[in-house]
Amino acid sequence: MTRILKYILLGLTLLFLEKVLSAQVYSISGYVTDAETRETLIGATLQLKENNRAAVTDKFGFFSLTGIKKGNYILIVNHLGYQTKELKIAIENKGIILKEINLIPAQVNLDEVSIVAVKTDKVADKSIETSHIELTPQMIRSIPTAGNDVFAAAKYLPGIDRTEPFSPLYTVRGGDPGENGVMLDGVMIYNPYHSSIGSGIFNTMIIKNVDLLVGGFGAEYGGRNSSFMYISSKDGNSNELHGEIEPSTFHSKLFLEFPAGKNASMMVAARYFYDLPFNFIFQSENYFYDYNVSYTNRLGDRHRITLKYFESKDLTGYNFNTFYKYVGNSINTNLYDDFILEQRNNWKNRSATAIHKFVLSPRIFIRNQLYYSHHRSNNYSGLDFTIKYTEKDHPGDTIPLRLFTSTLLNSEISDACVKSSITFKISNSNELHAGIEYNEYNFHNSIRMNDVNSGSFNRNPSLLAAFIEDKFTTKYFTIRPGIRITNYENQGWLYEPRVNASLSLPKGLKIKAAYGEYLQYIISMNTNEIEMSQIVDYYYPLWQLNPSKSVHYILGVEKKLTPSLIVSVDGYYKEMPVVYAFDMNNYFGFTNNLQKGIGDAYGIEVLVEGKHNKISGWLSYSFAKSSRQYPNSQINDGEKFSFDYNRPHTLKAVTNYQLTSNFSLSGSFTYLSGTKRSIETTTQNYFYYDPITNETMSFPLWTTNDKNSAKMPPLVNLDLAIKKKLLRGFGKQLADLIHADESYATITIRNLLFFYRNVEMYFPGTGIQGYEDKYIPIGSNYIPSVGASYTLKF
Amino acid sequence: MRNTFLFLVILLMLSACKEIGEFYLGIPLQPKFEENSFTPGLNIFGILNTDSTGSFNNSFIVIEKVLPAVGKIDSFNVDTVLVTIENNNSNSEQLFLLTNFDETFSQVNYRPVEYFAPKPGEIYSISCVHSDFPTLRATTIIPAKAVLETTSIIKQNNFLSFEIKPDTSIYMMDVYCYIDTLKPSPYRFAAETEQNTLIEIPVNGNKVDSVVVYSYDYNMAKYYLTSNTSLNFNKYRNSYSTVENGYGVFGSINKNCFKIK
Repeated sequence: MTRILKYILLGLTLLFLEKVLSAQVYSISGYVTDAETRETLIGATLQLKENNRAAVTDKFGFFSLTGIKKGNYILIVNHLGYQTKELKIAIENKGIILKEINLIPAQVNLDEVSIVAVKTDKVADKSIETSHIELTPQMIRSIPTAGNDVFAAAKYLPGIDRTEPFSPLYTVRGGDPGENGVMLDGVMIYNPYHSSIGSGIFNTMIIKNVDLLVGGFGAEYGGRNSSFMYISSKDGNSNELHGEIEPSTFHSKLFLEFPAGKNASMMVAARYFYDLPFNFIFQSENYFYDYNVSYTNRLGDRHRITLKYFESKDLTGYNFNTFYKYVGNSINTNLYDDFILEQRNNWKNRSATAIHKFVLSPRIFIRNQLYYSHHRSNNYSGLDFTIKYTEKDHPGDTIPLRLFTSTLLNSEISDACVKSSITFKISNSNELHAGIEYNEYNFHNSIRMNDVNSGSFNRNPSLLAAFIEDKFTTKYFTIRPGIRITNYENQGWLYEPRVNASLSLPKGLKIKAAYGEYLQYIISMNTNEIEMSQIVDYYYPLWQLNPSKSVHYILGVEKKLTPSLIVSVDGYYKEMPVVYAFDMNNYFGFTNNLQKGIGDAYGIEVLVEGKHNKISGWLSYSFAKSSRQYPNSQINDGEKFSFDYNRPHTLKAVTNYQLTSNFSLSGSFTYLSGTKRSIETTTQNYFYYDPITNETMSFPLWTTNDKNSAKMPPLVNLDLAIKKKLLRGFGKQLADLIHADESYATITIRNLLFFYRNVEMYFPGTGIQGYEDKYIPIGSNYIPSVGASYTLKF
Repeated sequence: MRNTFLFLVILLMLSACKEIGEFYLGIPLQPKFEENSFTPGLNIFGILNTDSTGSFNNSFIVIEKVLPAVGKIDSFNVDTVLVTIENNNSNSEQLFLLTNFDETFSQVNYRPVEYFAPKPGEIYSISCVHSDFPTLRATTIIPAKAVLETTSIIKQNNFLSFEIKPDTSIYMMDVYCYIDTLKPSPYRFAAETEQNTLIEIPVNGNKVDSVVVYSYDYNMAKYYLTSNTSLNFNKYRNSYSTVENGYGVFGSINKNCFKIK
């Protein structure tokens, strides 16, 4: 009750302060929306013609323009891809909360299409965030091999790299994969990946905008040390029914948005993927689905209520036993009769949220949210086979060959959260942003290795966090100091100071800097050493230990080369005074084997993005170094080593070439210098013992005592896609038949540089005639592939 | 523009072809080692067994060597090694020789040739001497017999559960349930050293006649419970070793049998 009274008092104080401050000047605020769908628009600019005062809509499509004296004004509203709108505003003796400002989509000349929007200074946060990258659905679709997936697309951006060859996990600026937070409309989603195709669980049809904060982010974001991906989803079209259907032999997609009563809208989207070849060859059932439902009600100009539900599920089960028996029969051997190779992955995500957005006054915007996010995964892989030699085949060799290995990892996370934030535009040059959130977690983890329980736990920690940041803006200089305070499991308050600053110089030059301290209480278990490929993060709540810590120092320079072309250079140093890892080579139990260490990462990223003539896209180069050390552990004998996923040099390019108004060619190119891996140096027989027969069996396994001591060759990829709007033929007729507005055919050519061996792993050549003294490289790009898809849009 | 683009693509494709004749397996693309840590040494699997009920004691030592991961084809076998087992309690030594006692045992290994009966709590050391390798040394403490908490047996339709009392010399147990005439399957458990270890075995409605529990020492438990044997490549995986100057394990085992009424 005391807490509620405090909130009321705070609200009244803010209102009073607002009244005092607005004694002479007034404010205008409101939402900017798409006139056709009434979807809020992020990054729209609003400017008063008379005095050039300007504002930009935030990630909720809301703006607040302050410091306006009494009088009549013309408000000019702009957004890329929309017609400019001018509104007459009369300010008398109070501020105004405008009704939605609806912008009409411009008639796009396809010759002018650009896959990137140069938005320096347009998005409010981008004016000061040093390492903020924006991904739009159009950018995601323009990458041929991204498969309309936000995570695959993100790996084409500087500073973001893949981890294991077939894993959807990603690393940002030398951080662990578990240090990346992914939020869907403010809801923390745990393991937002699908297993079958190594992609994300978010349907691009529902995505309005993706903001990637890869370092030096503000005090609003906490609990992850490396990066945040904030995904804003659509609310739905409140004017008329629209949608998109994409049937295919391997997947089906559906997207519908429609009005749901007066001032309300709904959005429903679903995807279902099925793996017919594996079903046929291995009799393994593999599928995944995801679906999103959203309902938004605009209760007048001040209130918006949004309800969203999201669910996804993956089931993969590869049982190779039948296949190997078939192979054995084909080559007339019984070696594979007792061969058991199985992999079963099963995981599910559910989240539900209620969001209330409230415009308390033209200067004060309040957002309240309640969410529940749940993740459960159960992943098993196992191999068991025995070969008993006969005296005839192997004279003198009586030790049977046996290999048995299995891992079963269970993880369940429940995250119930309530949070509230307030944005208070004190003046046109001063914006205060503050918030509070409380999370109640439930974790259950267990591991079985080689059929032995290796530990399990149930923990229910709680986290109370609050933040405040104040953005001061002058003509040339902007600074945003902030602080985040957290209390985990009632262990006391810890502080995370943050500051961002930017300085605008003549000739379109801008210098940005950031400093921030970040704490993470829920870490991820590094299981990649015991799993074939770690495809989910197993989250582990720290218990009576200092949180993992990271300190970011960032300096960036940005220059506009032309109105549509921008170049930026970011230098960063990331200090990691506290990091944790499980020693998986001595693993047994959870807390006993959690090793505390230190780390660092530094690098430079150069990004050129924008449009030149008919070519649009981006080109980036990154230099990066990252290391770890666990001094009091057996990990690399306590010595420093190169971080698992560190790639010193990366070159990435994504381009779209608009050949004609209906025909476009897009391409993506990546050069990733070789990462360091623990290539095996020793072959050692590992023994199994049967106490009943008192006999042994063994299997040769490859080992190394040096972590990441060998460098892999670089990876090079080039992919192309051709997209054509269908104007005749069956595709057009089908579109007409179901009254679709447009239909497209897309042909994707992957792996054009297949002559180059992209080595994913090395297999010792021992026993293979002619290659005994070499490592045999195993790659995934030995042949190019061509894919086709058909899209209906209505 | 279109021609320039096509030219660039073709140029990239050709420049990507490192060795036109070797593109299939890409053998030239070898990893670049900063340090190759291969250390030659003996690799042993030695187990001292309290079971001397037959004509011979069931203890044995398998001795091999480790090989470099790549290189000329070689065998894991090594020439004769001088294997000495010392009882640290009585300061007595015994040689183990390479034998299967005329097929008494199916496998030829280093075995005690004189009367040998290790007892729970005794400490034994091994030394393996070979001119080509460093002398391997290790020590084991013979574990106690597992003791059943008699009041803890619970028989359900699908599960049999019971508890084993804690013992500081027992770190791992293999449990075999004899169900009628069926060949028993092993169930492995890490042993608690400060409280009872709960054993739960699925029996699928079958009647269990007896249970055999093999108890292992610390070395065997470490070898089996902490070894990373996962089927993957180029991941950090240490050599398996609980011994000095070599590889492998030197441990001990004890056995107990309970009738389930």
